Amino acid sequence: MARIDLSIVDRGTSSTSWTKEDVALTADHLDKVMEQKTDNSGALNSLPTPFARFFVAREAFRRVKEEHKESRKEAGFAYKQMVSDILDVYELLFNLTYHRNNTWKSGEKIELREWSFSENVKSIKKNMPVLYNSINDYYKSDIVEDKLYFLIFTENGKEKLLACSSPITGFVTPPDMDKAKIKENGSVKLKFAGKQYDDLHIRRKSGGEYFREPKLFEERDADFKNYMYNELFGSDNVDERYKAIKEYIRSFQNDKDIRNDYTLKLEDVKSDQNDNLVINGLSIKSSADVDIMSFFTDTMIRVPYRISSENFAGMKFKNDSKDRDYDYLLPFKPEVMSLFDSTEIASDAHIGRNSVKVFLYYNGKEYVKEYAKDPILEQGRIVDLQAASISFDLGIFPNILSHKEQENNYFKILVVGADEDPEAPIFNIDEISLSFFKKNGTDLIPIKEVLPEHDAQYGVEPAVVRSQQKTDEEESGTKFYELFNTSFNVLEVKVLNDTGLLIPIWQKSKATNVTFTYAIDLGTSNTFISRCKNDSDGNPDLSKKPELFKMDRPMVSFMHEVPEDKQYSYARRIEDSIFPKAKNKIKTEFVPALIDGTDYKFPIRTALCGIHDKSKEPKLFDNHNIAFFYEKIMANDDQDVMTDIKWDKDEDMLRIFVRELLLIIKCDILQRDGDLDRTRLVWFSPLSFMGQTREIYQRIWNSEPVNILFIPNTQIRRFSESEAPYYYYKKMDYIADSDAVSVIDIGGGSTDFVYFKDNIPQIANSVHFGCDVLWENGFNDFANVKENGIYLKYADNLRFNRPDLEDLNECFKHVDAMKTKDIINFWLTNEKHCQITRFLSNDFKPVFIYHLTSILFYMASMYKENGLAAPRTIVFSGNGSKYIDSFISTEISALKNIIDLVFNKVFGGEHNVNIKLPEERKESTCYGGLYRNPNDAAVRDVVYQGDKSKEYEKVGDINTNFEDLKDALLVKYKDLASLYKDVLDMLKQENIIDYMANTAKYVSAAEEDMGTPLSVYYKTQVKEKYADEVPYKDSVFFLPVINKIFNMTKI
Amino acid sequence: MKKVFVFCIGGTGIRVMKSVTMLMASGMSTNGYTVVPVILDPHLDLEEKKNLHTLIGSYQNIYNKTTNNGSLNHLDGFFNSEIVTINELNNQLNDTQQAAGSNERFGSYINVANLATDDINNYFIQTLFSTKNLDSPLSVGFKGNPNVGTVVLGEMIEGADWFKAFKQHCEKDDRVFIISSIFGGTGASGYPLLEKKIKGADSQPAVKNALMGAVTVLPYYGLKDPSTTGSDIDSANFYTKTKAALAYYEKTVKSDYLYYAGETSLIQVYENDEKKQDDTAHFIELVAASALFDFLQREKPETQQFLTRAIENAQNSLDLVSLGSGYKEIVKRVADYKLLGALIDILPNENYFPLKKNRGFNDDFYKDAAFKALVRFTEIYNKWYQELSTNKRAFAPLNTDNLKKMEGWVKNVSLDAKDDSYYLLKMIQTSNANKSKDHDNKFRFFLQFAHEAIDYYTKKILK
Repeated sequence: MARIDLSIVDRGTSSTSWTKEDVALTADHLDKVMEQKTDNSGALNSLPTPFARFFVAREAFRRVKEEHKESRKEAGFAYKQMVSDILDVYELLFNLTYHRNNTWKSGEKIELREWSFSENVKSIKKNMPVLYNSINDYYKSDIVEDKLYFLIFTENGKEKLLACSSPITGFVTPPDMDKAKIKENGSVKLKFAGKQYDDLHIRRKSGGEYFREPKLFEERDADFKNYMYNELFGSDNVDERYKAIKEYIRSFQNDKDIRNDYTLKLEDVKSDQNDNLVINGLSIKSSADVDIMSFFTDTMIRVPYRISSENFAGMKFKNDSKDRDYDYLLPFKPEVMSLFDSTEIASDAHIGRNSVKVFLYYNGKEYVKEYAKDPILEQGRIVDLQAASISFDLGIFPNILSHKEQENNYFKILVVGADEDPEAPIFNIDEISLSFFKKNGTDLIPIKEVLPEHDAQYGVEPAVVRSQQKTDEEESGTKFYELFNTSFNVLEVKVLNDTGLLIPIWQKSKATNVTFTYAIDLGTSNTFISRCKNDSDGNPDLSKKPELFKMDRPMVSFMHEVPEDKQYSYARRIEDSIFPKAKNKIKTEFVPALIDGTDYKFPIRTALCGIHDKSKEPKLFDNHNIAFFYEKIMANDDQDVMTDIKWDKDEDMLRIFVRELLLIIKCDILQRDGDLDRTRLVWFSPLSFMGQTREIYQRIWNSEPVNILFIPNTQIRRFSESEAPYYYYKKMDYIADSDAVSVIDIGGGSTDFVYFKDNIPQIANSVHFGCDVLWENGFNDFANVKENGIYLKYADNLRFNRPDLEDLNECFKHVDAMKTKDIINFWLTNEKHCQITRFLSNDFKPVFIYHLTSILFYMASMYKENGLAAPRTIVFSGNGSKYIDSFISTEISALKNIIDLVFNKVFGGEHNVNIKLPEERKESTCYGGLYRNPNDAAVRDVVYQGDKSKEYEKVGDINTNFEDLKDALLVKYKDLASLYKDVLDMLKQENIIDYMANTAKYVSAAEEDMGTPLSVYYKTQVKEKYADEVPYKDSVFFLPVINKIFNMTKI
Repeated sequence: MKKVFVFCIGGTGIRVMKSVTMLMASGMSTNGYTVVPVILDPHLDLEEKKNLHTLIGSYQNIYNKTTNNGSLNHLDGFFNSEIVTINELNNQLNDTQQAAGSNERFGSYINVANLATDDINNYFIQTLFSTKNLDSPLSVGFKGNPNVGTVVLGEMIEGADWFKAFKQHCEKDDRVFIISSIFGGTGASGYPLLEKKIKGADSQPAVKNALMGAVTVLPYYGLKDPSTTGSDIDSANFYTKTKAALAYYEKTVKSDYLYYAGETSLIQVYENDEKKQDDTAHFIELVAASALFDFLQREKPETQQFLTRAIENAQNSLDLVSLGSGYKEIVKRVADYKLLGALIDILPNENYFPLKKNRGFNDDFYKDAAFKALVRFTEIYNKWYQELSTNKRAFAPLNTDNLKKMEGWVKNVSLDAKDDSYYLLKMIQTSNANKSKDHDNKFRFFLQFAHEAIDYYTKKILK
C-alpha cells in the first residue's frame, strides 16, 4: 500500500501532517476522478448561489464532453438532457426562419425579451426583498452581464419560457423543463418537472420534437453542426467563460458532417427591442437557407414484407421485381411535404447491388441520397428490421374519409410490434412511436399530442400501450393512438431512433342522397344488425327485404400487403398475412378488418374483451373492444371476455360495445356513399328492463350516435323487442290468420309476448326468463359456480372433432370467469363438431319441456286474465326458441298438441292453434324493427305476476299483498305441474319421448314445494333489491320456476 | 480571552465538531483559544445535533469543575481548553436555524406572489428555481438544493441574533473557523455564504479581518440507493456536485487557510435517511477536526493557503504506522484518554490505593457529580472511538482489550507500563511530588495526576 492523500484525488501530498499545496483544489485537478452518471436532475442545483443553474449547465457540457471523449465516463441522463435542451435552443433559433415559414401556422411564435439587471431588479427589490438581498450579492460576480434575454414560446395564447441567455453556456433552460424517466402503464416515459411543459410540442426541422428525447450534438443536422462548430465556437475570441461548451463543440473536429469549407447563409436573430441577440460576445444567428437534402433521413427503414400499395403510397422503384418481398418506409422527414402541393412526394428509388439510391425531385432538380446496410462516406444506413429481429405492423381504423370534413372525427391506429430475437429481449412496443400530420395545400400541420383534460379542439391522444411483450415466448405488444376531430394524411413512424414516412391512401365517400336505416338488436347472447336503404323520404324502403349487415371492402388499412389468393376469404388473408406474433393480437384487441359475412358476420356474440386492470378508465380499443373472436380463439392472459353486458348495468361496457358497433356502421355508410348525418337508427329494448337499466340504455343511445354518426335523436327510434318480429313475419306472410296472433320471442335473457288482433298489437309482456336459465345455476350469485346439471354431465366427456375447438373447450372449462351458460353456448355454436344437440335431446328433453310448458302456461294465463281470447296463431321468434325444435321436436304437430293442452287447461274447450317456427328467428326482431311504422302508437305494456286478482304495479304492491299473491300462485303452480304431467304423457304417446323413459321423477320434481322457493327468491331477488316505489316490470311467477329448472338439470 | 468561532454547518459540521470536542477532552491544545461553536443546521429535531449540544454541555461541566468555574487556570492535559457557546456569550437563546426549519414554503418566503403576473421577473424566477423548489417547505428546501439554501441562509444569517452576537463579540485577534461539507445541501451553501457575510462586514474590522480557516469535507461516504428509501439525496452525485462546487469555489472562497479532507473513493455506505443522519463517527471527521487544531497554531499567511494531509498506507484499518508520523499526537491523545477511561473503571474498586486516603479519592469522591460526569463523558468517548475503530476506513491504532498486557496499548509501540499498576503507582508518585496548596479540588487533582501518570508512559509515542 502506498501513501495516499485524504482528499478527493491523490495529488501526492508529501506529508501525513497538514501540508500546504501550491494551489487550491479545482475541478481541473479532478479529471482523474471517475464520476458516476447522473440520472437525477435533482443534482442540477448543487451550487451555493442562486445562479447555480448557470454553472451546472457549464458542468453539464463538461461532463457530456468527457463522455464523448471517453464513453466509460457516462454523464448520465440528467446532464445529457440539459445539454440537449440547450442545444435545442441554439437549433431552434438557427432554424427560426424555417419554423416561422413552415411549421408554425397557428399563431405560434418565439420572442426574445430583454431583461436588464439595473432596470428590472428594482421590481425584485421592491416586491421580493429577501431574494433581492441574495441575488444582489451574487449577480455581479456570477453573471456579470447586465442584460439577459428570455426566450418565450407562445402557443394558443399561452406563453412558455424556453430558456434564458447565459454568459457561460449561451442559454440555460428553466429547471421545470428538466425531465425524469418514469414508468407509466408499464412503459418508460419522459416527464417534465413542471406541468406547464406537458403540452409543449415543437417539431424539429430534422424530425421529432425539441425539448423531448435527448439529442446530443453528433445526432444533429450537418447545417446546425457546422454553424455551431465553425460560426459560433470556431473563433479564438470566444470568451473564456464559454470554455465548457466550446470544448464540447470543438471535440467534434472529426465528426463526419463537420467541414471547414462549409458555407451557410445566416441572418441575425433579433430581440423584442430589435437588438441583435448577442450574449457575452456571442452573436446568435439563424439560417437563411433551404436545404433540400436535409429532408432526407439519415437512415432508411426496411420492413420484411411489401407495404400495401392499396393502403399506402409507398416507395416507387425504378427497377422493381415482382419477387420483392420487402419494402422501405419513405426515408424523408415530414417537412418534405412542404415542398409539394399534394401528399404525393415526387420520389423514386433504384435498387443497387449493395445500396439503394433514393431520388427526390423538386423545382426541376434531382436530389439523391444513397443508403446501404454498411454505409461509407455520405451514404445513409439501411436499418433492416428483419436482421434486427424486429417485427411491426400498423392498422388504421376507419380507413375511409367522409367528404364532409367535420365527420372525420375519429381514427384509431393500432401499432403491433414484437421482438423476434430469443436471445436479447431489448425491443418492445414503447420503442415504436407515430407522429401524425395533416397536409393542407403546401402547409404541413403537425397534429400534436394533447391530453384529454386540456380540452384541445383536435389532436392525438397520448398513445396507450394495451399489451406488452413480456418475454420472447409471448406474442407481440400493442399500442393505440387516437386522433379526435381531425384526419391525417402523413404518418411518421419511429422505430428505435430511426424514422420514415407512410402516406395513407384513404377510401373516400362520395356526396350522394343515399341514406340508410340500421336496426340493432343487442341481445343477451347475440347481437344482430340489419340494414335497409331508405326511400327518398328517408324512411326504410319497405319494398325490399332488409339486408344482412355485410361489407364489401375492409374498414382497416393494415400496412402489410394482402396476397392475391382467392382460395381463402379476404378477411382471412388480411389476418393470415400479418407476422405470426401479431395474428392473435389483431383479432383480440382490434376491430376485424372486414365484416365479410363469412369469417366475420352478424349475429355476433354479445361479448366484450377487456384488460384485467380495472383501474384504467374504460376506453374503446385502449383497453376494451367487442370480442368478435369469442368462441374462436382465447384472449391472452391479461384480458377477460364479458358476456353479461346487456343486463349488467355497467354503462361503460355497454357504451363501448355500442360505440364500436356504431363506428362499424359509420364505416359501412361511408363505404356505400351514404349521407352519414341522415342515417336512421332503430334499437330495441325488452319490456322487462327495470328503471335504471332502461335509463342507461336511453342515455347511451341518445349520446353515442350523435358523436359518431352526427344524427339528432329524432332519427333514432326505440321499439319493443316483443312486437318487432310480428311486422317481419306479417310482411313475410307467415301469418295467414291475423285474427288473434301471439308472438313469443324467446331470447337468452328474456321472453317477450305480444298479442295482435287484426294486425293491431293489443298488449305486450316481457319476463326475465329466457333460455339461458337452462344453462345457468339458478340464483347462485357467484359467477364461477359450475353446478348446472347439463354442464356437469358433458363437461368431462364432450369431444370435438376439431383440435382447435377441443383446445378451446379445455381452456374455457379452466377459466374461472367462464360461466356454464357461456360454455354450453360455445357447445351449441359448434354443434356440428360435438353433436351436443343430440345429447341434449336424449338426456334432458323433460327439462326443456318444462321450460316451454311454463312459458305457454304463463302466457295463456296472462292473456286470459287480461280478457283476451286464446290466440289462434302462435309465432316463435328469438334465438332462444330454437331449443323447441332442436331438443324437443321438429314436429309441429307435437308442439301444436302441447299448446292445445295448455290452452285447454287455461281457457277450457278445444283449440286448434296454428304454429309458426320460422327460420329467421333472431333476424326477425331487427328486420321487424325496420318494417314497423314509426308513427304507429306503441303497444300497451302489461305486467303480470301470475295473478291479476289484484294490481301489482310496484314492488310495494307486491310486498303488501305477497301472501295473497303466493296463495294464488301456488294454485297456478299446481296446475302447471299437472299440465306438465299431461304434456309428458302425451309426448310419450306420440313417441316424442321414449315410452319407457322414466318421466315420473320429473313430474315428481315439478310437484315439489314451490311456496318456499317463491318466498326465498322473492325476498332476495325483488324485495331486497328494489324499493317499494319501483315499478316491477318482471314477473315473480318465474322465480321458483327458474329454481325448479336448475334442480331438474341435476336429476 | 481570545476566541475562535467555529461554525459547524450541516450534518458533517456537527459530526466534525463532535471529534473536535473529543480531541479537546483528550488534551489537544487550542493554543489558548476559547472555542465558540456555532451550529448551523436547518433540521430542528436532528438527534445528532441534540447529542452534540449535550456533549458540549458535558465538556463544559467537566471543564468548569476542573477550574472551579474559572477561578483556576485550565489544566495542561485532559479538558485543557474552554468551550463557550454563542448563547452564553450573548446570553440569548435564539437557535440558529429556526427560520430555516419552518414549514413556510420557499416561494412564500421570498414573496413570489408579490410579482405582477406580467412582470418579466417571473421568467427570471423560473430560470433560477423549479416549481418544486418554490413549493418546498423551508425545512426540506435545503436538501441538496444549495441554490435555495443560499437565499434562505443568507437571509437567516443577516437577521439572526447569533450572527449579530458573533459580530459583537468577535474581537481583534479572534479567529473564525468554518466546518462544512461540499457535497451536501446545507454545508455546501453555507460555507461560501457565511464567508461572504463575514468578509463583507465592513463596519466591523475585527470581524472582516479575523483570521479565517475552513475545512471543506469532500465526499467520504456513500448512501444507499435513494430509490429504495425515497430519499431525495443520491450519493451517485456526490463527486459531480463536488466537482461543480470546487469549480465555483475557485473564484469565490477567500479563507486564509482552506483545509481539504476526504476520500478518493466512497468506502463506507450508510442508510439513506436524512432525518436520522445517525451515521457513525468516521476517520475523515477526525481528520477534519484536526484541521482546527492545526489552524490555531498558525499565523496569518501572506497569501491564501490550501492544505491537505495524507496517510502513509491506504489500509482499511489504520494504525500508527499506516497513519504516518503526522498522526502521532492524535494517536497519543486518544490513547491517553482511553487510558484515563481504564483508570476510571479500575480505581473505584481499588481498595488499597493510597490516594484514597491521601487525596480523598474514596467512595464519596467516586459518587460525586464531577466524577460521575466524567464517567458519562467517557462512555460517550468510548462509543465514539469504538465507531471510529470499526468504520471504513477504521481509525484503530489502539489495543485496549487486555489490561494485563498494556505495553501493547498502542499498536506498533511498546510502552513501558506493562499493566494498570504502573499507572496507579505513577499517580501516587505524582501526587506525592505535588505540594500545591492553591486549591483543594480533588477532581482537578485526579485528572492532573492521571494525566501526568499516563503522559509519563505515552510520550514515548511522540518519539
